[in-house]
Amino acid sequence: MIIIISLICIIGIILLALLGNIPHRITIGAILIITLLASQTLLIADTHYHWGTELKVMSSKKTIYPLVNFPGSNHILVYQNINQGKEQKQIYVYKGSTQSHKSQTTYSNGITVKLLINQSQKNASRIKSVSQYRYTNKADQILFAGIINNHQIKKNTVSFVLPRNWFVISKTNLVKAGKDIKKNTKKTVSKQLKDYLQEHPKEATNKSAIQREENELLKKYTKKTLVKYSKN
Amino acid sequence: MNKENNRHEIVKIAFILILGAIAPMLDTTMTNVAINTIMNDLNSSVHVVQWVTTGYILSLGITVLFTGWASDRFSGKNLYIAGIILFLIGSIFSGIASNIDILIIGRLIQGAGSGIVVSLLSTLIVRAAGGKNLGSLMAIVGLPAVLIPILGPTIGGYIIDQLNWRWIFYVNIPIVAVSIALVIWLMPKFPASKKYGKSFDWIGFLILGGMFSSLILGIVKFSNYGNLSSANVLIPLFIGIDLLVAYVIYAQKFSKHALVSLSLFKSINFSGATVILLMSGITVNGAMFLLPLYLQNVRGLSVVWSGTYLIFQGVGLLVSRTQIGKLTDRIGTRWVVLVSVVIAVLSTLPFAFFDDNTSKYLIWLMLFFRGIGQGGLTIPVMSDSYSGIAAEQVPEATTATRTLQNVGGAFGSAILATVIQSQTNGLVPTVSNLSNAYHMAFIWSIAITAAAAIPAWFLSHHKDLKKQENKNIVKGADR
Repeated sequence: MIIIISLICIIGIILLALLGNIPHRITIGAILIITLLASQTLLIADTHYHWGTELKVMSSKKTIYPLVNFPGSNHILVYQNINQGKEQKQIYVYKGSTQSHKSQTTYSNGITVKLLINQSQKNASRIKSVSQYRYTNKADQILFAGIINNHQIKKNTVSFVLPRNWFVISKTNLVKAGKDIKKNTKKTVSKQLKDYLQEHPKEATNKSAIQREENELLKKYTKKTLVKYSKN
Repeated sequence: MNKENNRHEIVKIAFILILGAIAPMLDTTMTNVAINTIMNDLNSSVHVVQWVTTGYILSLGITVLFTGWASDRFSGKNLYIAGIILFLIGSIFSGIASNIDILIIGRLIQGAGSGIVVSLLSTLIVRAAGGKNLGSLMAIVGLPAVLIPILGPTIGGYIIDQLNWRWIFYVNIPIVAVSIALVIWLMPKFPASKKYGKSFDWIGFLILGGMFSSLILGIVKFSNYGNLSSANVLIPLFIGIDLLVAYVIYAQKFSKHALVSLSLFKSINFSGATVILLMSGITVNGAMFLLPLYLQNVRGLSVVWSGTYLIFQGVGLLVSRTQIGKLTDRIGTRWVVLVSVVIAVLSTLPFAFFDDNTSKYLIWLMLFFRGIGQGGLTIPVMSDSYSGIAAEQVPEATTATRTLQNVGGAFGSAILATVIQSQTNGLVPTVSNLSNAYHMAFIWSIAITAAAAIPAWFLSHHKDLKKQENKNIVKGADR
């Protein structure tokens, strides 16, 4: 409504300037100019105060699954950097279910992406939060239509809540991490296992204990390598 | 025989003027395809690099305000040479720029030169022709004004592919050198028409310059934010609108000194033409921004190939321009523009449904028809904006139309960029997601083009032309 009032004022002032013989031209003109400036001030102020609205946040949560797994239940949230000069944006890739072969994506363009890593929960999830202005006052909704509209989005946020066994790794680093693990795991783990058995000679004959320790060392080494390449 | 010689002389002047304007006109769109490359090469950001194009438009628009007055006070030839040299200096600066700041300064200098050259192109040709046969003359002068921006992305694409972005600016050097030589050698002086006329209207210049700059800044901010709900968008927009209102009051009060006289708008033709030029700035420039991006992102074409596709628009324009000029002189502008609106709408509509599997031949055909529509929407309107305008008001008319065209152009790109941005927020730019966003942007472009039919109704038509002819006959008989 205030936008329309402003437009009427603009048209009125222009017509008054162009059509000379109108009685009380100066008075009407002054009223129109004051109304125009007051309307514009109100509209600018509304971008700060958002009169008659409340901020409503709507969230939806979804469990996500990794596209790539490493030994020892180490899961990966892969992302790819998209360079735009100095700026960098990311595309995050994951799955919506364990069986699914189709990947899902989130692009950090125009939205805020939060990575909540090392969380205590068991499963990884994606929480979409949309904060929008909802009018609680009909009069304000009509007055400020066009500037702040009902349901106008203030912010779009996607949060990835990731347990301790999840790592956020770029596509390039993922390839490097894979090569690193493939190349060095066997050598490092067998050396660490040898050291362990020297410290615990009693367990050298216990096959299941050796296997358990080997798995543990493998898991630790994989995790250490992934940490090196990840955002965590 | 004299008439024929005179016609040859005018066409010769037109071609010399056009040659000088080729490089400035090319640079309005050619740089668009290089923006990504420049951003990565000079390690800049999207918000800063956009000033490479916006700064050019801004500087061009402000110089246009000055050129109208200057063309009355100084020799048209000298002013034209000064404009080309300024453009040359800007091109060299831009070409050698080692960082984004120097490039933007170079573009500002280029824009200033371009503002002088592009305004004088139509002012001087209308003066040379004495205001007669403007339809067919504008088909000559208007052709590069419409065709060159279409070819800009194609040529720019080839240059970037074969050389690098700096050559987009270096190629101007030989063109400008040849042009300066021809202007000095062959162009008449165009002496100052009002050497001792009114002094420069500094107040009007500051108001209109402030209005233009604020509106452009507001439009750029609107494009960045995607809505009006920010003070950063509203404040410059409101300042721009308020300065427009202030100018109307000022120009009415001090009509003798005003930079652009309001009496121009008493001509319904002129008012209608300026509104259409504003809208065609939105549709033509908007589409020039949209089509290369669509072809590259949705159809997966390279910069070079997307530019090659756009040649079909240029062919459509070339094929139709002679008929458009003749028809405009015979039946007036109204029906030519109305039919062109229909052609432009019908040929853009399929783009709202095309996908990556659509036959390229169909796209070429539609681009060809778009070229016809585009020619019919701009060339006759440019001529109509001068019909019925007194010779001494031609520079002011050019100032007004060019300013509105520039604002419209900036607004068109901003609206369509905002539509695409709002449709793709948070979505990965896959072909399917981008396709939907571009379809929506095309629908907006179609709606604005269709709306141009309303002001088109106020353009001149055959009855007006007959009346004018009769007036001329009566005047002749009186003498």
